[in-house]
Amino acid sequence: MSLRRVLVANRGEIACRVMRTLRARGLESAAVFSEADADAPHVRLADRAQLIGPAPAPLSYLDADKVLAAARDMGCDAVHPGYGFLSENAAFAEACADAGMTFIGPPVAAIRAMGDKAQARRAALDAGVSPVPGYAGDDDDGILAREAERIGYPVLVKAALGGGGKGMRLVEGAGGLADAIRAARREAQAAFGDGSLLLERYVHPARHIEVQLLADTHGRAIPVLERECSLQRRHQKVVEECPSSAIDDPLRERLGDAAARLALAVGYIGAGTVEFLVEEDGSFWFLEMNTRLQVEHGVTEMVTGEDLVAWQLRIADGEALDLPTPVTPRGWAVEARVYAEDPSAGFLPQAGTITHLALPTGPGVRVDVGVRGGQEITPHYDPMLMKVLAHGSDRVAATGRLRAALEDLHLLGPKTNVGYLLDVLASDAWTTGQTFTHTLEADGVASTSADGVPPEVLMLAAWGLEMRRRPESTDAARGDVYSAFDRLSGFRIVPRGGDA
Amino acid sequence: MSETRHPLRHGDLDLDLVCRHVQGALEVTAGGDMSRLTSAGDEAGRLVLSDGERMISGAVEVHDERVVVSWRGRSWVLERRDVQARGGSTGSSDGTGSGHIEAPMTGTVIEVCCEAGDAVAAGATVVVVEAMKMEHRLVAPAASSVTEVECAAGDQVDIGQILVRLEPDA
Repeated sequence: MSLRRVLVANRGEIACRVMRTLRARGLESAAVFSEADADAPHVRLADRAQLIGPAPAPLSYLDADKVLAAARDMGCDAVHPGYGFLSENAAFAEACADAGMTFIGPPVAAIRAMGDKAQARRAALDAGVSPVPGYAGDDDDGILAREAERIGYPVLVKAALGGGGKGMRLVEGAGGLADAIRAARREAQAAFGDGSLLLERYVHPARHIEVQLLADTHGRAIPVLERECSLQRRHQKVVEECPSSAIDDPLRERLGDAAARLALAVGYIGAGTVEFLVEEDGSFWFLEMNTRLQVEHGVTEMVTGEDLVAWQLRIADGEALDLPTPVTPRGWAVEARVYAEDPSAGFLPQAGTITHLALPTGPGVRVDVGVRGGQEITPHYDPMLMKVLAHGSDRVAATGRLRAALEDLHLLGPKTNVGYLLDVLASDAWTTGQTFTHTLEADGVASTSADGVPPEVLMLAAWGLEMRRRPESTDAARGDVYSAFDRLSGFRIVPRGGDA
Repeated sequence: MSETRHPLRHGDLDLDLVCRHVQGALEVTAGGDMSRLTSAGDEAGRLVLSDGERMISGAVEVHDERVVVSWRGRSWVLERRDVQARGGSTGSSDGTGSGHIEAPMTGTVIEVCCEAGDAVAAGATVVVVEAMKMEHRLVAPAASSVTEVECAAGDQVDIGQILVRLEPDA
């Protein structure tokens, strides 16, 4: 069997990223899109595309029937779900198979086993991998309250079917539990269609370390290094790196073995990630397994030279894994997630039109982007705009390249967290590698931005304001200065009424 | 030689830029320092200026009432003091203007945690709004009494829409 045309059941940067590998491997790509995304980059990058519904995700990207119907219409023989949306939906994977299409992901049983966190905890125990101490079972409010007392505060309330930090709440004491349960249930219901919850002890200080896995149909599972994603805000990862500064070879091997054992125990096939909390003494606890490509997979790719999407396709085609083991890191890679959000206003997501976009480039720099200048960012989808990644010979070199790249990213329109990302990368925690899951929220990050307005900013502002006056002027000298004006793309005048 | 003054404001800071066009260059005086700028052209979406020694690379957007500048990964919004602001919202961007709570962005009201007549403490959650799949708690900026509630759970609200009116305690 050989794949020919793959539906990418996603949008944004990940849809674009998957399509690039499809093209590199000589496969055709098909896109689906909502009414809000008719002009989105992933639609233009695909070989064909079909509208599947209105902007709200439940009526388009999350509607398995519509996605599958589009895949059939476009003559696809496989479906790549990306991350989020339907990527960890076992019923969707099953429906793909029923429709005669290859689901590029693990077997349905493995998605089920890992998708329900309660079941995943049991599977880990069976495989000899310790889950974070906690409770998973009947989840009425009274039982959860009793179990929280037993585990001991602080506890984490989590959506049983969750992922990506949605439906998750940290509770410091019994007084906050009822509110947290209510909010987590609501978020879980909205995001995953199921409000079931579980509890975990809040392990801290701890690092978030995850093992990238590849498992083939020939019974082999290979750990492909770890990533550290300890720097998180509201359980959303902000900066990720590969490898981790806290993991030496023996610990890497123990983590890799545990991850591979779990994968084999649940019959895992494809690319997946096993997440752990690692304490300072090297003890580690299984958190969950993500049965899909991760947002941050790119740092692993940069450090190994492997294309993980290509491996997903090759495994789906029945190829045996062919990697030198153990996989060793070549240099260091760091990723920063660029969100449309306002760090000065509680990180509120921002909507609006991207009026200007200039992306960074350079040696060792990779930008996974799914937006373009002129595009409207709507409140319907995740506010992540792009990921900026940098690779270098070591952590310092990679960080330097990433900072330079972020400084050279110019996006006007919705506010972004780029300044905040630069602060994170300049922080003591980052420079010393003392990164823990509580670091960003508990300790905060000092701003590296000087008070006031730098003279360079005033120069650029002055230039812009003078350019704007130009049409009314007859000053001959100005004509010389601004002769190139009309071609300048780093400059824009917004007419009255155009700046909503 | 004629000069133009651009009165700007950033936060509480008043900034005056004085511009003169001299022999094909733009002389900009700000806070007593003068720079002589020429265009070094445009590089892949970046406006590049030269002050004779260094290149300054960024992006600029000029609106009627403000100038937005992107430089080294950060952006600055400079209000133009010479341009009358058009009506509109007076609340701060976090939706907690002194007399009311505004929707910080387009979304859905999940929960209204107060009624007209309630006394609310500073920092108390007044409304919970969901946008981009995340919940946001809008809090009272100061101890206040609730004079009016203008939204209900389930409402779709637009950015800047007033959700709750508050009367700060004296």
